[in-house]
Amino acid sequence: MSGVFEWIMFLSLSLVAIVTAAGMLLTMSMYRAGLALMASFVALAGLFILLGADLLAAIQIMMNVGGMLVMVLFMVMMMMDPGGEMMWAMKRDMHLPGPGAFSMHMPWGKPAKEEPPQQQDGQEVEWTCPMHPQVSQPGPGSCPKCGMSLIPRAEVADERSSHEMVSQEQVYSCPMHPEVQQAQPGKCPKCGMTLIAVEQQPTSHAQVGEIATYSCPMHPEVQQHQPGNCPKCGMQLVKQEPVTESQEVNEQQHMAMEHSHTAHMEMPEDTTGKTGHTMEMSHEMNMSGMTPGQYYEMMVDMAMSTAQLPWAIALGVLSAMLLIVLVVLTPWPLAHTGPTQDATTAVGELLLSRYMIGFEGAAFLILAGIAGAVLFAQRARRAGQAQLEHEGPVAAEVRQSQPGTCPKCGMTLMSVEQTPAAHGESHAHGTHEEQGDQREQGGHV
Amino acid sequence: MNTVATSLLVLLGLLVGAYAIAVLQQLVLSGPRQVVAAFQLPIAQTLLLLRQEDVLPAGADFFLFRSAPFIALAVVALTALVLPLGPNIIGFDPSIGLFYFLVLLSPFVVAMMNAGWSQNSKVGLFSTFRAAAYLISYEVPIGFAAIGPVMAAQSLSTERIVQSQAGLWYVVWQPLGLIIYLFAALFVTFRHPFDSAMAGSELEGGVLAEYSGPRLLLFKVALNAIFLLLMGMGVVLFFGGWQGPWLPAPLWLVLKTFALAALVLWATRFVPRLRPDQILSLSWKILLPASLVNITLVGILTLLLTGGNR
Repeated sequence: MSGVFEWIMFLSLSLVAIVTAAGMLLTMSMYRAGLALMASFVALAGLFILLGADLLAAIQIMMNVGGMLVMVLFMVMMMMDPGGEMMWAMKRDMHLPGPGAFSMHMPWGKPAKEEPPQQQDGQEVEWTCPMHPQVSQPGPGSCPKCGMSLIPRAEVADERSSHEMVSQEQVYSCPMHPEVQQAQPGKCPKCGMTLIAVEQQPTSHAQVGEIATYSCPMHPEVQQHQPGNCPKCGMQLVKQEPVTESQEVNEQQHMAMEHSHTAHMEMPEDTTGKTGHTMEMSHEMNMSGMTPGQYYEMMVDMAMSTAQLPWAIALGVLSAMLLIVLVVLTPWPLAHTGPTQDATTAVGELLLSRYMIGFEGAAFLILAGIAGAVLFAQRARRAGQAQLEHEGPVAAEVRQSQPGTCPKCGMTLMSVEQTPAAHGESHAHGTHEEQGDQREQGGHV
Repeated sequence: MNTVATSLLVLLGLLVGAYAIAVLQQLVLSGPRQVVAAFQLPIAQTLLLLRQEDVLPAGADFFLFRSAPFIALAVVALTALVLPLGPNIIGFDPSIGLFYFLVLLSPFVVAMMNAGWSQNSKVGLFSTFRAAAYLISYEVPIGFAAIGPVMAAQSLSTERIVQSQAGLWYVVWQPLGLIIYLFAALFVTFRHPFDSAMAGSELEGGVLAEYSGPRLLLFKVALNAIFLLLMGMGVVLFFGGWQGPWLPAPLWLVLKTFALAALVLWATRFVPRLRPDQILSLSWKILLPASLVNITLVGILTLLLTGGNR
């Protein structure tokens, strides 16, 4: 192997290692991130071979590519958004700045077309900035103050008026946990995400909630104040809690919120469709009265969805600085050893001094990360402590703490999470059975 | 110059070997009466695939979909380097040849996973899961099975392993190791009883479902070639490699390799395709403990045979 060849190999391998490492950080697809990391490790193994350390290269490939990373990929594929399509669509639809180079060749869909403004009764539509209402011009364009795309005035007017209408009822809610609602902005008690402003739907409260009603489990429209049988199917009517009405209201609200605020997320199987329009972010999302700061915080949340991120970054930076200082301060062992020393001793000294610090540091980083994750997870679990109850699938008033069958209809009871509603800590999992969901929602009204 | 010649020779050998495996498979599967057809069919299929339209599925991953067949073939070519054809007839003889061989098998499976993942279809995704599960479960048994000959030869160099079998082939006193090795080899090569990652009618071809034309041809070559290589390495590890009387060394290796391949292909005819869960439980519940037992036995036997003072 000539010197020129070695140089070419060294440079290209180093380039591959660095570029793929950067790609791992920048791509939105977890699968691609895993592959990029693999490629980086393989390039490092190539560098080891150039140094004549065949065994080290083979170990590098076996441990990192064959063992660890394939398991990582395997786990990644089980996740919700392994291809990064959802994150990519989110970035696209919200016009987020950021590196797009490594989300290359995601599905080539464009942002969903916003409906063209309707010309109402031939009157001129003014266009205005969602952030600066004083800006107005006759046609579409971008705001001279902040550069955002202008939107028709009518829409804003609608939004403003609805804001004013329910301004008393504006609450802050978590994008992930819609049941979390509070009057002040802040963080979600469950996941720590920044709460976003939500308008409560003006609801017509039917004042029938105070009296217990009896209704058919199969025909909810049948409601009467006395117990009896359903006129349609003859089943025994079931007594309903007085809270039913507000449950329904809350459910409506919940659905409305979901419609306007949370992304329309689909399961990964469906993301393999052609266009990849899995996310339909209605554009109220970035205009629901949030300041740019709140908007930015929400985006940070969406990107990582942990409140621990700043701590993790700080810990990582600190450890890296410590590591660099240690590596620089350690005396270079080969400086005062003669060329006569045999190779094994030299390698051993190398391993035991400077390189060992590097390896140990890396191991420490990983351990610290794991410990932190475990600690935070436990805290989160303690916060969201929930107890399981079992509920009849049809007769919702049947509740008990042990599994079994419903004494009324004999169906197997389903488990639902029961949480103290007063603390506002109930979980609304997407997988929940709907009735259970409704009940939990009802607890908050 | 030498490097270029070696790589060209390796590629040529792999092409011929893949063809030979295809012929052998036809012979084994279709019986002795269709000998001529068995020799013609692979050529006809090659021509067909070369002329076939190269379909790119909509939304397929640009880079991964195109690169997967090349990665697979490149990995196979790299592993072929350490297979010793005869004394000093070897592409690349590091002191850790066997380790190198086993290590490079995992990127091959990763290439198959990429093929399944990148094609933007459910079938491909499912088969990618399967391929990944197999990758995790073949690696340990094949490594432990290969440790037996390494313990006996006290070297990781493939040439040294062959030379140490001059007196007695390792298959004689490590039959369990051979069986585990063959099972794991069938795992890696996605061969018949363990091919549910490419299950024909069940997953429409699995990881190769969306491939057509020349890319599919590359994959088929790579799959046949890696099967040949694993059989060759099996011969090196357990059947004395190139050693044999009268005939030249490379010919002995080739003969033994094809004999082993024919035996394996013939024997697997009688086994139904295993479900993924059965494959995994076979690997973790049977092969893994068996390989540990094998290592223990080999250790004891090595001490007995060599007197512990080698």
